[in-house]
Amino acid sequence: MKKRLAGLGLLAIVLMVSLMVFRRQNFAVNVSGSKNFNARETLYKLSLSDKLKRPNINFGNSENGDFKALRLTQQFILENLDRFPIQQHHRLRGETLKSPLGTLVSYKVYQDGVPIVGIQLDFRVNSRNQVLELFNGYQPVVQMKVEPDKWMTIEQVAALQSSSFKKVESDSKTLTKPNIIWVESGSDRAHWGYVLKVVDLLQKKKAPEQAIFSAITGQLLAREVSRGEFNRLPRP
Amino acid sequence: MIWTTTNRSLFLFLCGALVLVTARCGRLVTECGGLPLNSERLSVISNAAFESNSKAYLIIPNPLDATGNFSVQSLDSSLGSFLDPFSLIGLNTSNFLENSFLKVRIKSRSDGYEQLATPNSQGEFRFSVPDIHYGESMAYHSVTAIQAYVEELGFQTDRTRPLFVMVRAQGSTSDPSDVNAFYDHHHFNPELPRELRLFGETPHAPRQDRDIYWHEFGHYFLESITLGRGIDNAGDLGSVFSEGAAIHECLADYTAESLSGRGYIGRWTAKNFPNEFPSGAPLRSAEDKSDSFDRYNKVSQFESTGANLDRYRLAEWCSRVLWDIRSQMVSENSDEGRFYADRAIFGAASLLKKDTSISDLKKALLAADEELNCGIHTRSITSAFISRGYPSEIPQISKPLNLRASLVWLNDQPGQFSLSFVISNPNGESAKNVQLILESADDRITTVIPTQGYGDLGANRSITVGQTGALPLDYSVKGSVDTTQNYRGARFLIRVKIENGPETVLQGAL
Repeated sequence: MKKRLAGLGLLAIVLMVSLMVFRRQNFAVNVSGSKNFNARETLYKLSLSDKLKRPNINFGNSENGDFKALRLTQQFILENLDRFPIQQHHRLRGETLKSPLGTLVSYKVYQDGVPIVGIQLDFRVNSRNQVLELFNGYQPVVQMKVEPDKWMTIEQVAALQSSSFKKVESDSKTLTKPNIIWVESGSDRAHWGYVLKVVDLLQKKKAPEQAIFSAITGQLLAREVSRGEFNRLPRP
Repeated sequence: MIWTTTNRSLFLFLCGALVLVTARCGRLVTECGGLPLNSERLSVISNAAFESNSKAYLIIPNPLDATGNFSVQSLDSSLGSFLDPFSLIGLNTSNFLENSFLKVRIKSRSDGYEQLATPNSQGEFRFSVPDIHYGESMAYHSVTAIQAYVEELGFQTDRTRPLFVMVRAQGSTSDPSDVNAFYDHHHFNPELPRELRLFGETPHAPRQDRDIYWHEFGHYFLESITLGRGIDNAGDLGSVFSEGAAIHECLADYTAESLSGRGYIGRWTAKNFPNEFPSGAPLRSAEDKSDSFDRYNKVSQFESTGANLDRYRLAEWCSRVLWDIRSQMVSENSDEGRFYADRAIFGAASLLKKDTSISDLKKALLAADEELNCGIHTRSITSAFISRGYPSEIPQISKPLNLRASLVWLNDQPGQFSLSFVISNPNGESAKNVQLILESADDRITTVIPTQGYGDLGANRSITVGQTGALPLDYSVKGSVDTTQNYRGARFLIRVKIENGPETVLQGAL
């Protein structure tokens, strides 16, 4: 009887341990369906492969957040270059934020110090040190040529667009050259752009908004719409 | 000896059984990565019981909710007796309402300090409700309180750029009755701060309502926890409707409702719109009201009037789903359930992708609960969606939607074009989350408004935009060209994307 009881107890413990192991192995939450990997293995590989691979990608001065999360995600990028074909002329700057679900890591992309807006890479390092890809918006945008003689001035852009937009001075008066590289949604097509604060003259309520104009042609590339509470919908 | 051995065996058996039962049925949240919360500190924040030498005299959350008087106005002299002292935390100096992140202003970021609120000789920010400086004090108190709350829940907030709050902003119109509130994240220009702008100089100005600050902070918070990628790229770029836009509003409402513990927002501000809101009614309610926002199909199905392209309709439905989930967690743990619910829901928000959807939100809620709470709320999360009419299984449809489109040059916007079109659903089931997407297939075309959303399209129903009597071209996509160059023949693609069936793709040329 006592042997049977002890046996049952041990069996219960074995079952419980098995359940917990099974649970852990199946725990990773993968929002985008991407590959996960174990951080401890990665840290080990990092010391072996760091010198060989690191010069191919410029991570810039990213190391000002959660150092461990940055290193893990950088190694994840290096080991998955087919998914992240990072160009040598791009610098990735990482930012981290703590959350109850681990550390959120975002890489913004720059060329020669100019932000490339529209592409970024987001990861999460969860409490089990697994790297999970949250969002891969990276596009292997070609190196944008710096050709100041082809750039319009903001005054020229404003004059070209004067029938549709009125430039608001406060946020754009000091610009002497394009301040962003804009990548169209879902493409690798990039443009030198001026981000200007403008008022749309065709709208009844003339609230200022951010808009991007091509520094080469002056054409409107995109506008960022404010989140407004009581905007009226256009009706039939 | 016999007794001892039997006892040891029995003890071992019972331990094993107990651990097994615990592992299967009642695991602690700490086993799953959800760290314990500091309920004491969270309660202090909930009660706005901060410790600080700087104080502001305020009516929290607003005069209507505080007095219970639906006809109260900011000019009522009786309101003076309702002003209570609230501590202001984290001020850079005791003289101005700002810290290293939050900067309160009146009209614009360039307001001089001499225009702004300063404390009296006792160090108190004490003003009457209609005074503009009262609004500044309310702004500082409200934003610091909600920020302290989400940070105590474990969400670090993005302070890389300051947040400016303009309590009576310049810009929209000069009409004082033009009440509004805006949040600008400034994705395009990393040099610019974030901005929260309030408009309106009325007896129920939004600057006097804590709910409005908390809702607008919710927009900032959502961008922060998604690392600036946001959840509604389509809306950022000008789409009138998208499920992402509705979820943005839903989670902003939930942010306000979470800390207040009240399942509604904006009763004070709603007084500015007497034709739309009966006296005392909130702007939106997360609580069950048996109205048109209670069932998914009432807010999600495309209608030719465009009524359901008002993002706030789906947002209100969504906030009720979240409130149901929260209520379930509160019923399980009346002391701390609200905090665990808020953490799980905000955690889910951090997992959402760039152009998200209601189905993504559901998956993210389940994923966050799995990770933080061992998945013990899987059933209640699923039930919350089903009980509000969201289908447990979305039927797949086999035929792509039909699309006919024509190019329209916008004469008043040089170099810009749009599309008039008809999208129809030939299937016997609804098409889920219909989106029209313009893609450039040529360097000469740039997509300015690349995506528009239309919600769910019923069986054998159609969407018409840009034709007489139909929805205007504001509901279409938009592209632009350089008119000084030859753009004839430049190619583009139009996609109709749905969640539960094949895409439709058309090619076009200028």
